[in-house]
Amino acid sequence: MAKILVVDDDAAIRQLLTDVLEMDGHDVHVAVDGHDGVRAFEVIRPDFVVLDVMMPGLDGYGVLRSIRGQDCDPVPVLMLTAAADSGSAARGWADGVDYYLAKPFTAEEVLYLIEGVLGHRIPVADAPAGGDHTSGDEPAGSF
Amino acid sequence: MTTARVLFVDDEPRILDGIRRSLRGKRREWDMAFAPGGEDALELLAGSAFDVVVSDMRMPGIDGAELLTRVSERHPEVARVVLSGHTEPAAAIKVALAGHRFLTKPTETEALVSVIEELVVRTSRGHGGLARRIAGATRALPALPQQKAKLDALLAAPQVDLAGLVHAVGHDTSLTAKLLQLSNWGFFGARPRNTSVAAVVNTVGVPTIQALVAASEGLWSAVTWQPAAEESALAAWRHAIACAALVDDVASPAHRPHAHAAAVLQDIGRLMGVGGGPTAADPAADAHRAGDPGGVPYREIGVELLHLWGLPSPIVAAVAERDTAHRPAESGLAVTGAVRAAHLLIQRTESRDPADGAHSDELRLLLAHPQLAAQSVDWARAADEASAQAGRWLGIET
Repeated sequence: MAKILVVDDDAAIRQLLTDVLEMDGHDVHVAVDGHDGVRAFEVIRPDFVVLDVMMPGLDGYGVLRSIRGQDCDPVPVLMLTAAADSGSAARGWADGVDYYLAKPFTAEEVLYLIEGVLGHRIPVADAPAGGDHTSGDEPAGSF
Repeated sequence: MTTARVLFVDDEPRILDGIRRSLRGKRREWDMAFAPGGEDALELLAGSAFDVVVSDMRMPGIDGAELLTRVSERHPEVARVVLSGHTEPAAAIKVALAGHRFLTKPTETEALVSVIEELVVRTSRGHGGLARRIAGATRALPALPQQKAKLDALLAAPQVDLAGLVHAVGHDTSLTAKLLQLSNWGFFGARPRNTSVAAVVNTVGVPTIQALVAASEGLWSAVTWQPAAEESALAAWRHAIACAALVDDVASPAHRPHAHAAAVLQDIGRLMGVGGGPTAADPAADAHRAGDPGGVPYREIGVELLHLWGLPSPIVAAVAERDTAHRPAESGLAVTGAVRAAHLLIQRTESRDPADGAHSDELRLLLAHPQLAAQSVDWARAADEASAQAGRWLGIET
Protein backbone atom coordinates (compact mmCIF):
# COMPACT_ATOMS: atom_id res chain seq x y z
CA MET A 1 0.00 0.00 0.00
CA ALA A 2 1.27 3.44 -0.86
CA LYS A 3 0.16 6.98 -0.09
CA ILE A 4 -0.84 8.60 -3.36
CA LEU A 5 -1.67 12.25 -3.92
CA VAL A 6 -3.86 13.15 -6.92
CA VAL A 7 -3.73 16.85 -7.87
CA ASP A 8 -6.31 17.74 -10.52
CA ASP A 9 -8.99 20.42 -10.84
CA ASP A 10 -11.19 17.97 -12.76
CA ALA A 11 -13.49 16.24 -10.26
CA ALA A 12 -14.24 13.37 -12.66
CA ILE A 13 -10.56 12.47 -12.96
CA ARG A 14 -10.04 12.73 -9.20
CA GLN A 15 -12.97 10.38 -8.66
CA LEU A 16 -11.87 7.88 -11.30
CA LEU A 17 -8.33 7.67 -9.91
CA THR A 18 -9.49 7.51 -6.31
CA ASP A 19 -11.83 4.60 -7.08
CA VAL A 20 -9.28 2.56 -8.98
CA LEU A 21 -6.32 3.22 -6.68
CA GLU A 22 -8.32 2.55 -3.53
CA MET A 23 -9.57 -0.69 -5.02
CA ASP A 24 -5.92 -1.65 -5.39
CA GLY A 25 -5.36 -1.01 -1.69
CA HIS A 26 -3.70 2.41 -1.87
CA ASP A 27 -4.28 5.31 0.49
CA VAL A 28 -5.48 8.08 -1.84
CA HIS A 29 -5.53 11.82 -1.08
CA VAL A 30 -6.80 14.48 -3.46
CA ALA A 31 -6.08 18.15 -4.03
CA VAL A 32 -8.33 20.37 -6.15
CA ASP A 33 -5.76 22.82 -7.52
CA GLY A 34 -2.07 23.69 -7.52
CA HIS A 35 -1.87 25.58 -4.22
CA ASP A 36 -3.96 22.90 -2.54
CA GLY A 37 -1.57 20.32 -4.05
CA VAL A 38 1.54 21.96 -2.57
CA ARG A 39 -0.10 22.17 0.87
CA ALA A 40 -1.29 18.56 0.69
CA PHE A 41 2.16 17.36 -0.37
CA GLU A 42 3.76 18.92 2.69
CA VAL A 43 1.20 17.46 5.08
CA ILE A 44 0.75 14.02 3.53
CA ARG A 45 4.31 13.25 2.36
CA PRO A 46 3.00 10.93 -0.35
CA ASP A 47 4.89 8.07 -2.02
CA PHE A 48 3.60 8.99 -5.46
CA VAL A 49 2.03 12.10 -7.02
CA VAL A 50 -0.36 12.25 -9.97
CA LEU A 51 -0.32 15.84 -11.24
CA ASP A 52 -2.39 17.62 -13.87
CA VAL A 53 -0.61 20.31 -15.89
CA MET A 54 -3.45 22.70 -16.66
CA MET A 55 -4.91 24.07 -13.45
CA PRO A 56 -6.12 27.55 -12.51
CA GLY A 57 -3.78 29.50 -10.23
CA LEU A 58 -0.63 27.49 -9.73
CA ASP A 59 -0.23 25.05 -12.65
CA GLY A 60 1.37 21.61 -12.64
CA TYR A 61 4.86 22.93 -13.37
CA GLY A 62 4.64 25.24 -10.38
CA VAL A 63 3.61 22.35 -8.15
CA LEU A 64 6.45 20.24 -9.55
CA ARG A 65 9.01 22.98 -8.86
CA SER A 66 7.80 23.23 -5.29
CA ILE A 67 7.91 19.44 -4.80
CA ARG A 68 11.39 19.14 -6.28
CA GLY A 69 12.60 22.03 -4.13
CA GLN A 70 11.88 20.10 -0.93
CA ASP A 71 14.59 18.49 1.09
CA CYS A 72 13.49 14.86 0.85
CA ASP A 73 14.14 11.80 -1.28
CA PRO A 74 12.57 12.56 -4.67
CA VAL A 75 8.97 11.37 -4.88
CA PRO A 76 7.84 9.90 -8.22
CA VAL A 77 5.64 12.35 -10.11
CA LEU A 78 3.31 11.37 -12.97
CA MET A 79 2.14 14.30 -15.07
CA LEU A 80 -1.12 14.29 -17.00
CA THR A 81 -1.18 16.44 -20.14
CA ALA A 82 -3.54 17.18 -23.00
CA ALA A 83 -2.59 15.00 -25.98
CA ALA A 84 -2.22 17.85 -28.46
CA ASP A 85 0.15 19.70 -26.16
CA SER A 86 3.52 18.17 -27.07
CA GLY A 87 5.38 21.28 -25.88
CA SER A 88 4.14 20.70 -22.37
CA ALA A 89 5.52 17.15 -22.38
CA ALA A 90 8.97 18.46 -23.30
CA ARG A 91 8.75 21.05 -20.55
CA GLY A 92 7.64 18.44 -18.04
CA TRP A 93 10.64 16.24 -18.82
CA ALA A 94 13.03 19.17 -18.57
CA ASP A 95 11.50 20.10 -15.19
CA GLY A 96 12.02 16.60 -13.80
CA VAL A 97 8.81 14.58 -14.03
CA ASP A 98 9.23 10.81 -13.84
CA TYR A 99 6.24 9.76 -15.91
CA TYR A 100 4.08 11.47 -18.43
CA LEU A 101 0.66 10.42 -19.71
CA ALA A 102 -1.36 12.15 -22.39
CA LYS A 103 -5.12 12.38 -21.95
CA PRO A 104 -7.17 10.37 -22.52
CA PHE A 105 -5.54 7.73 -20.36
CA THR A 106 -6.92 4.71 -18.57
CA ALA A 107 -6.75 4.18 -14.82
CA GLU A 108 -4.99 0.87 -15.52
CA GLU A 109 -2.11 2.75 -17.15
CA VAL A 110 -1.69 4.84 -14.02
CA LEU A 111 -1.86 1.75 -11.83
CA TYR A 112 0.77 0.02 -13.96
CA LEU A 113 3.22 2.90 -13.58
CA ILE A 114 2.69 3.07 -9.82
CA GLU A 115 3.23 -0.67 -9.47
CA GLY A 116 6.37 -0.41 -11.57
CA VAL A 117 8.04 1.98 -9.19
CA LEU A 118 6.56 0.97 -5.82
CA GLY A 119 5.39 -2.59 -6.27
CA HIS A 120 6.95 -6.02 -6.28
CA ARG A 121 7.14 -7.33 -9.81
CA ILE A 122 9.46 -10.30 -9.83
CA PRO A 123 11.55 -10.25 -12.96
CA VAL A 124 12.45 -13.38 -14.86
CA ALA A 125 16.13 -13.50 -15.73
CA ASP A 126 15.76 -14.44 -19.35
CA ALA A 127 18.80 -15.24 -21.37
CA PRO A 128 19.54 -12.39 -23.78
CA ALA A 129 18.83 -13.25 -27.38
CA GLY A 130 21.89 -14.65 -29.11
CA GLY A 131 23.62 -15.33 -25.81
CA ASP A 132 26.62 -17.63 -25.84
CA HIS A 133 25.31 -20.13 -23.32
CA THR A 134 23.07 -23.13 -23.59
CA SER A 135 19.64 -22.93 -22.10
CA GLY A 136 18.35 -26.23 -20.83
CA ASP A 137 14.79 -27.39 -20.61
CA GLU A 138 14.97 -27.68 -16.88
CA PRO A 139 11.78 -26.16 -15.50
CA ALA A 140 12.19 -23.41 -12.94
CA GLY A 141 12.08 -24.82 -9.46
CA SER A 142 13.56 -28.21 -10.16
CA PHE A 143 17.15 -29.25 -9.64
CA MET B 1 -1.18 -20.63 -5.85
CA THR B 2 2.31 -21.32 -4.65
CA THR B 3 3.44 -24.65 -3.25
CA ALA B 4 5.98 -23.86 -0.57
CA ARG B 5 7.83 -26.07 1.88
CA VAL B 6 8.49 -23.82 4.85
CA LEU B 7 10.26 -24.43 8.15
CA PHE B 8 9.57 -22.13 11.11
CA VAL B 9 12.07 -22.04 13.98
CA ASP B 10 11.45 -20.43 17.37
CA ASP B 11 12.22 -21.48 20.92
CA GLU B 12 8.99 -19.94 22.21
CA PRO B 13 6.08 -22.41 21.72
CA ARG B 14 3.66 -19.48 21.99
CA ILE B 15 5.18 -17.83 18.90
CA LEU B 16 5.23 -21.05 16.87
CA ASP B 17 1.58 -21.65 17.79
CA GLY B 18 0.76 -18.11 16.74
CA ILE B 19 2.39 -18.61 13.35
CA ARG B 20 0.66 -21.98 12.91
CA ARG B 21 -2.72 -20.43 13.69
CA SER B 22 -2.28 -17.38 11.52
CA LEU B 23 -1.20 -19.53 8.56
CA ARG B 24 -4.04 -22.07 8.87
CA GLY B 25 -5.44 -20.80 5.59
CA LYS B 26 -2.23 -21.83 3.85
CA ARG B 27 -2.04 -25.40 5.08
CA ARG B 28 -3.50 -26.91 1.91
CA GLU B 29 -0.98 -25.01 -0.22
CA TRP B 30 2.14 -25.17 1.89
CA ASP B 31 3.97 -27.95 3.68
CA MET B 32 4.81 -26.37 7.00
CA ALA B 33 7.14 -27.70 9.68
CA PHE B 34 7.90 -26.21 13.08
CA ALA B 35 11.12 -26.60 15.06
CA PRO B 36 11.64 -25.43 18.67
CA GLY B 37 15.36 -24.73 18.17
CA GLY B 38 18.38 -24.67 15.88
CA GLU B 39 19.37 -28.31 16.46
CA ASP B 40 15.89 -29.63 15.60
CA ALA B 41 15.78 -27.35 12.57
CA LEU B 42 19.04 -28.73 11.19
CA GLU B 43 17.75 -32.29 11.67
CA LEU B 44 14.56 -31.52 9.77
CA LEU B 45 16.53 -29.81 6.99
CA ALA B 46 18.83 -32.82 6.67
CA GLY B 47 15.82 -35.12 6.37
CA SER B 48 13.71 -33.37 3.76
CA ALA B 49 13.75 -30.55 1.23
CA PHE B 50 12.55 -27.04 2.12
CA ASP B 51 12.18 -23.84 0.11
CA VAL B 52 12.23 -21.34 2.94
CA VAL B 53 13.34 -21.28 6.58
CA VAL B 54 11.93 -18.57 8.86
CA SER B 55 13.91 -18.29 12.08
CA ASP B 56 13.95 -16.38 15.31
CA MET B 57 17.35 -14.99 16.32
CA ARG B 58 17.62 -15.34 20.09
CA MET B 59 17.53 -19.03 20.96
CA PRO B 60 19.46 -21.17 23.42
CA GLY B 61 21.99 -23.54 21.87
CA ILE B 62 22.38 -22.86 18.15
CA ASP B 63 21.02 -19.33 17.79
CA GLY B 64 19.38 -17.91 14.68
CA ALA B 65 22.53 -16.34 13.20
CA GLU B 66 24.43 -19.60 13.62
CA LEU B 67 21.54 -21.68 12.27
CA LEU B 68 21.16 -19.53 9.14
CA THR B 69 24.93 -19.51 8.58
CA ARG B 70 24.94 -23.32 8.67
CA VAL B 71 21.90 -23.44 6.37
CA SER B 72 23.78 -21.23 3.89
CA GLU B 73 26.61 -23.77 3.86
CA ARG B 74 24.67 -27.03 3.93
CA HIS B 75 21.44 -26.09 2.16
CA PRO B 76 22.14 -23.01 0.02
CA GLU B 77 18.93 -23.57 -1.98
CA VAL B 78 16.81 -22.78 1.10
CA ALA B 79 15.86 -19.10 1.34
CA ARG B 80 16.58 -17.64 4.78
CA VAL B 81 14.16 -15.28 6.53
CA VAL B 82 15.00 -13.63 9.85
CA LEU B 83 11.95 -13.09 12.07
CA SER B 84 13.24 -11.29 15.08
CA GLY B 85 12.01 -9.27 18.01
CA HIS B 86 15.36 -7.85 18.91
CA THR B 87 18.85 -8.53 17.67
CA GLU B 88 21.80 -8.12 20.02
CA PRO B 89 24.09 -5.48 18.50
CA ALA B 90 26.99 -7.94 18.75
CA ALA B 91 25.13 -10.46 16.58
CA ALA B 92 23.71 -7.89 14.16
CA ILE B 93 26.46 -8.15 11.55
CA LYS B 94 26.40 -11.95 11.57
CA VAL B 95 22.62 -11.83 11.13
CA ALA B 96 23.00 -9.26 8.35
CA LEU B 97 25.22 -11.65 6.42
CA ALA B 98 23.31 -14.84 7.21
CA GLY B 99 19.77 -13.75 6.31
CA HIS B 100 18.16 -13.03 2.96
CA ARG B 101 15.11 -11.15 4.23
CA PHE B 102 14.37 -9.52 7.56
CA LEU B 103 11.04 -9.19 9.34
CA THR B 104 10.43 -7.85 12.80
CA LYS B 105 8.07 -9.24 15.44
CA PRO B 106 5.24 -8.75 15.57
CA THR B 107 4.78 -9.10 11.84
CA GLU B 108 1.59 -8.99 9.82
CA THR B 109 0.61 -12.41 8.46
CA GLU B 110 0.18 -10.77 5.07
CA ALA B 111 3.81 -9.60 5.06
CA LEU B 112 5.08 -13.04 6.05
CA VAL B 113 2.98 -14.74 3.37
CA SER B 114 4.11 -12.37 0.64
CA VAL B 115 7.80 -12.76 1.55
CA ILE B 116 7.48 -16.56 1.45
CA GLU B 117 5.58 -16.50 -1.84
CA GLU B 118 8.22 -14.25 -3.40
CA LEU B 119 11.03 -16.48 -2.21
CA VAL B 120 9.51 -19.60 -3.73
CA VAL B 121 9.84 -17.96 -7.14
CA ARG B 122 13.15 -18.56 -8.88
CA THR B 123 14.04 -15.91 -11.42
CA SER B 124 16.18 -18.06 -13.71
CA ARG B 125 14.00 -19.93 -16.18
CA GLY B 126 16.69 -22.19 -17.53
CA HIS B 127 18.75 -22.83 -14.41
CA GLY B 128 16.38 -22.21 -11.52
CA GLY B 129 17.87 -24.74 -9.14
CA LEU B 130 21.56 -24.10 -9.75
CA ALA B 131 21.21 -20.31 -9.85
CA ARG B 132 19.36 -20.53 -6.51
CA ARG B 133 22.11 -22.67 -4.96
CA ILE B 134 24.92 -20.36 -6.07
CA ALA B 135 23.05 -17.20 -5.09
CA GLY B 136 21.75 -18.74 -1.87
CA ALA B 137 25.23 -19.66 -0.69
CA THR B 138 26.39 -16.06 -1.10
CA ARG B 139 26.33 -14.21 2.23
CA ALA B 140 28.58 -11.40 1.03
CA LEU B 141 30.47 -10.71 -2.15
CA PRO B 142 34.21 -10.71 -2.69
CA ALA B 143 35.93 -7.42 -3.44
CA LEU B 144 38.37 -6.85 -6.25
CA PRO B 145 41.85 -5.98 -4.92
CA GLN B 146 41.40 -2.42 -6.26
CA GLN B 147 38.03 -2.11 -4.50
CA LYS B 148 39.46 -3.42 -1.24
CA ALA B 149 42.45 -1.07 -1.40
CA LYS B 150 40.23 1.98 -1.88
CA LEU B 151 37.91 1.13 1.00
CA ASP B 152 40.69 0.06 3.35
CA ALA B 153 42.54 3.32 2.76
CA LEU B 154 39.41 5.36 3.46
CA LEU B 155 38.37 3.37 6.54
CA ALA B 156 41.85 3.23 8.08
CA ALA B 157 42.23 7.02 8.19
CA PRO B 158 42.13 8.42 11.75
CA GLN B 159 39.43 10.88 10.64
CA VAL B 160 37.27 9.13 8.04
CA ASP B 161 36.46 11.35 5.05
CA LEU B 162 32.69 10.82 4.98
CA ALA B 163 32.14 12.35 1.54
CA GLY B 164 34.90 10.16 0.12
CA LEU B 165 33.41 7.11 1.81
CA VAL B 166 29.92 7.87 0.49
CA HIS B 167 31.38 8.15 -3.02
CA ALA B 168 33.41 4.94 -2.72
CA VAL B 169 30.53 2.90 -1.28
CA GLY B 170 28.22 4.27 -3.98
CA HIS B 171 30.66 2.81 -6.54
CA ASP B 172 31.14 -0.50 -4.74
CA THR B 173 29.10 -3.43 -6.03
CA SER B 174 29.25 -5.57 -2.90
CA LEU B 175 28.43 -2.83 -0.40
CA THR B 176 25.73 -1.30 -2.61
CA ALA B 177 23.96 -4.66 -2.72
CA LYS B 178 24.32 -5.38 0.99
CA LEU B 179 23.32 -1.89 2.17
CA LEU B 180 20.27 -1.73 -0.10
CA GLN B 181 19.23 -5.22 1.03
CA LEU B 182 19.47 -4.25 4.69
CA SER B 183 17.85 -0.83 4.31
CA ASN B 184 15.00 -2.17 2.15
CA TRP B 185 14.17 -4.65 4.94
CA GLY B 186 14.22 -2.06 7.68
CA PHE B 187 17.41 -3.39 9.22
CA PHE B 188 18.54 0.16 10.01
CA GLY B 189 15.13 1.37 11.19
CA ALA B 190 12.45 2.95 9.02
CA ARG B 191 12.05 1.41 5.60
CA PRO B 192 12.73 4.17 3.09
CA ARG B 193 11.51 4.31 -0.49
CA ASN B 194 13.64 5.32 -3.47
CA THR B 195 16.65 5.77 -1.28
CA SER B 196 20.21 6.11 -2.50
CA VAL B 197 23.21 4.25 -1.15
CA ALA B 198 24.69 7.64 -0.24
CA ALA B 199 21.68 8.33 1.99
CA VAL B 200 22.03 4.91 3.63
CA VAL B 201 25.74 5.48 4.36
CA ASN B 202 24.94 8.85 5.90
CA THR B 203 22.24 7.24 8.04
CA VAL B 204 24.13 4.20 9.31
CA GLY B 205 27.49 5.91 9.87
CA VAL B 206 31.10 4.87 9.61
CA PRO B 207 31.29 2.14 12.32
CA THR B 208 28.55 0.07 10.67
CA ILE B 209 30.28 0.32 7.29
CA GLN B 210 33.58 -0.67 8.91
CA ALA B 211 31.96 -3.70 10.56
CA LEU B 212 30.26 -4.78 7.34
CA VAL B 213 33.46 -4.45 5.31
CA ALA B 214 35.44 -6.40 7.92
CA ALA B 215 32.83 -9.17 8.12
CA SER B 216 32.52 -9.47 4.32
CA GLU B 217 36.28 -9.54 3.88
CA GLY B 218 36.49 -12.20 6.59
CA LEU B 219 34.36 -14.51 4.43
CA TRP B 220 36.55 -14.03 1.39
CA SER B 221 40.02 -13.66 2.88
CA ALA B 222 41.23 -16.87 1.24
CA VAL B 223 40.17 -15.84 -2.26
CA THR B 224 42.84 -15.39 -4.84
CA TRP B 225 41.63 -14.06 -8.15
CA GLN B 226 42.51 -15.84 -11.36
CA PRO B 227 44.20 -13.16 -13.52
CA ALA B 228 41.71 -13.57 -16.38
CA ALA B 229 38.72 -13.45 -14.02
CA GLU B 230 40.13 -10.41 -12.25
CA GLU B 231 40.71 -8.60 -15.52
CA SER B 232 37.19 -9.22 -16.78
CA ALA B 233 35.65 -8.30 -13.39
CA LEU B 234 37.67 -5.07 -13.36
CA ALA B 235 36.53 -4.19 -16.88
CA ALA B 236 32.92 -4.90 -15.85
CA TRP B 237 33.34 -2.73 -12.76
CA ARG B 238 34.73 0.16 -14.78
CA HIS B 239 31.80 -0.15 -17.18
CA ALA B 240 29.40 -0.19 -14.22
CA ILE B 241 30.91 2.94 -12.66
CA ALA B 242 30.85 4.82 -15.97
CA CYS B 243 27.19 3.81 -16.50
CA ALA B 244 26.31 4.89 -12.96
CA ALA B 245 27.79 8.36 -13.53
CA LEU B 246 25.98 8.72 -16.86
CA VAL B 247 22.64 7.35 -15.68
CA ASP B 248 22.52 10.07 -13.01
CA ASP B 249 21.85 12.41 -15.96
CA VAL B 250 19.70 10.03 -17.99
CA ALA B 251 17.24 8.97 -15.28
CA SER B 252 14.49 11.25 -13.96
CA PRO B 253 14.83 12.47 -10.34
CA ALA B 254 12.77 9.82 -8.53
CA HIS B 255 14.25 7.00 -10.62
CA ARG B 256 17.83 8.22 -10.17
CA PRO B 257 18.73 6.39 -6.93
CA HIS B 258 17.47 3.06 -8.28
CA ALA B 259 19.02 3.62 -11.71
CA HIS B 260 22.39 4.47 -10.16
CA ALA B 261 22.28 1.35 -7.98
CA ALA B 262 21.18 -0.87 -10.90
CA ALA B 263 24.09 0.45 -12.98
CA VAL B 264 26.57 -0.34 -10.19
CA LEU B 265 24.99 -3.79 -9.70
CA GLN B 266 24.56 -4.69 -13.39
CA ASP B 267 27.36 -7.28 -13.39
CA ILE B 268 27.14 -8.43 -9.79
CA GLY B 269 26.95 -12.02 -11.02
CA ARG B 270 30.60 -11.79 -12.09
CA LEU B 271 31.65 -11.41 -8.47
CA MET B 272 29.85 -14.54 -7.34
CA GLY B 273 31.34 -17.96 -7.01
CA VAL B 274 34.73 -16.59 -8.06
CA GLY B 275 37.89 -18.33 -6.95
CA GLY B 276 36.41 -20.77 -4.46
CA GLY B 277 34.12 -19.62 -1.75
CA PRO B 278 31.24 -20.76 0.38
CA THR B 279 29.93 -23.03 -2.39
CA ALA B 280 33.18 -24.99 -2.70
CA ALA B 281 31.42 -28.19 -1.64
CA ASP B 282 29.01 -27.95 -4.56
CA PRO B 283 30.42 -29.72 -7.65
CA ALA B 284 27.88 -28.06 -9.92
CA ALA B 285 28.97 -24.65 -8.68
CA ASP B 286 32.58 -25.63 -9.33
CA ALA B 287 31.70 -26.28 -12.93
CA HIS B 288 30.29 -22.76 -13.09
CA ARG B 289 33.50 -21.28 -11.73
CA ALA B 290 35.55 -23.17 -14.24
CA GLY B 291 33.60 -21.38 -16.95
CA ASP B 292 31.66 -24.43 -18.10
CA PRO B 293 29.72 -23.20 -21.14
CA GLY B 294 26.77 -25.25 -19.89
CA GLY B 295 26.87 -23.32 -16.63
CA VAL B 296 24.58 -20.57 -15.51
CA PRO B 297 25.06 -17.15 -17.14
CA TYR B 298 26.43 -14.54 -14.75
CA ARG B 299 23.38 -12.34 -15.21
CA GLU B 300 20.98 -15.04 -14.06
CA ILE B 301 23.00 -15.71 -10.90
CA GLY B 302 23.23 -12.00 -10.15
CA VAL B 303 19.50 -11.43 -10.65
CA GLU B 304 18.68 -14.42 -8.45
CA LEU B 305 20.86 -12.95 -5.70
CA LEU B 306 19.22 -9.51 -5.91
CA HIS B 307 15.80 -11.19 -5.87
CA LEU B 308 16.69 -13.38 -2.86
CA TRP B 309 18.04 -10.35 -1.02
CA GLY B 310 14.83 -8.47 -1.81
CA LEU B 311 16.30 -5.34 -3.34
CA PRO B 312 13.71 -2.85 -4.67
CA SER B 313 12.09 -4.46 -7.71
CA PRO B 314 12.90 -1.64 -10.20
CA ILE B 315 16.61 -2.31 -9.53
CA VAL B 316 16.26 -6.07 -9.97
CA ALA B 317 14.26 -5.63 -13.18
CA ALA B 318 16.81 -3.21 -14.67
CA VAL B 319 19.69 -5.63 -13.98
CA ALA B 320 17.66 -8.54 -15.40
CA GLU B 321 16.91 -6.61 -18.59
CA ARG B 322 20.24 -4.91 -19.17
CA ASP B 323 20.95 -7.07 -22.22
CA THR B 324 17.40 -7.00 -23.55
CA ALA B 325 16.52 -4.60 -26.37
CA HIS B 326 14.39 -1.81 -24.90
CA ARG B 327 11.53 -0.09 -26.64
CA PRO B 328 10.91 3.05 -24.60
CA ALA B 329 7.35 3.63 -23.43
CA GLU B 330 5.83 7.03 -24.16
CA SER B 331 5.30 7.41 -20.42
CA GLY B 332 9.06 7.51 -19.82
CA LEU B 333 12.26 5.49 -19.60
CA ALA B 334 11.85 4.68 -15.89
CA VAL B 335 14.77 2.71 -14.41
CA THR B 336 15.14 -0.10 -16.94
CA GLY B 337 15.18 2.19 -19.98
CA ALA B 338 17.60 4.64 -18.37
CA VAL B 339 20.05 1.88 -17.41
CA ARG B 340 19.81 0.28 -20.86
CA ALA B 341 20.45 3.67 -22.55
CA ALA B 342 23.46 4.39 -20.30
CA HIS B 343 24.80 0.87 -20.93
CA LEU B 344 24.58 1.24 -24.72
CA LEU B 345 26.14 4.72 -24.65
CA ILE B 346 29.08 3.58 -22.51
CA GLN B 347 29.47 0.42 -24.59
CA ARG B 348 29.77 2.57 -27.72
CA THR B 349 32.35 4.76 -26.02
CA GLU B 350 34.36 1.74 -24.89
CA SER B 351 34.20 0.01 -28.23
CA ARG B 352 37.62 -0.38 -29.77
CA ASP B 353 36.04 -0.35 -33.20
CA PRO B 354 34.68 3.09 -34.14
CA ALA B 355 32.59 1.50 -36.88
CA ASP B 356 30.86 -0.75 -34.36
CA GLY B 357 27.22 0.00 -34.98
CA ALA B 358 25.73 -2.64 -32.68
CA HIS B 359 22.37 -1.55 -31.27
CA SER B 360 22.67 1.83 -33.00
CA ASP B 361 19.01 1.78 -34.09
CA GLU B 362 17.86 1.01 -30.58
CA LEU B 363 20.10 3.72 -29.15
CA ARG B 364 18.82 6.28 -31.67
CA LEU B 365 15.26 5.48 -30.60
CA LEU B 366 16.15 5.84 -26.92
CA LEU B 367 17.92 9.17 -27.43
CA ALA B 368 15.01 10.50 -29.48
CA HIS B 369 12.60 9.86 -26.61
CA PRO B 370 11.18 13.18 -25.36
CA GLN B 371 12.59 12.52 -21.89
CA LEU B 372 16.16 12.65 -23.26
CA ALA B 373 15.55 14.95 -26.22
CA ALA B 374 14.15 17.59 -23.83
CA GLN B 375 17.56 17.91 -22.19
CA SER B 376 20.08 19.68 -24.36
CA VAL B 377 22.85 17.19 -23.68
CA ASP B 378 25.37 15.78 -26.15
CA TRP B 379 24.97 12.19 -24.93
CA ALA B 380 27.96 10.78 -26.83
CA ARG B 381 30.19 13.38 -25.20
CA ALA B 382 28.64 12.81 -21.79
CA ALA B 383 29.38 9.09 -22.20
CA ASP B 384 33.01 9.80 -23.12
CA GLU B 385 33.36 11.97 -20.04
CA ALA B 386 31.73 9.39 -17.75
CA SER B 387 34.00 6.67 -19.08
CA ALA B 388 37.16 8.77 -18.68
CA GLN B 389 36.07 9.75 -15.18
CA ALA B 390 35.58 6.09 -14.24
CA GLY B 391 39.06 5.27 -15.56
CA ARG B 392 40.61 8.11 -13.55
CA TRP B 393 38.78 7.03 -10.41
CA LEU B 394 40.06 3.48 -10.78
CA GLY B 395 43.55 4.70 -11.64
CA ILE B 396 43.51 2.94 -15.00
CA GLU B 397 43.85 5.78 -17.50
CA THR B 398 43.48 4.73 -21.08
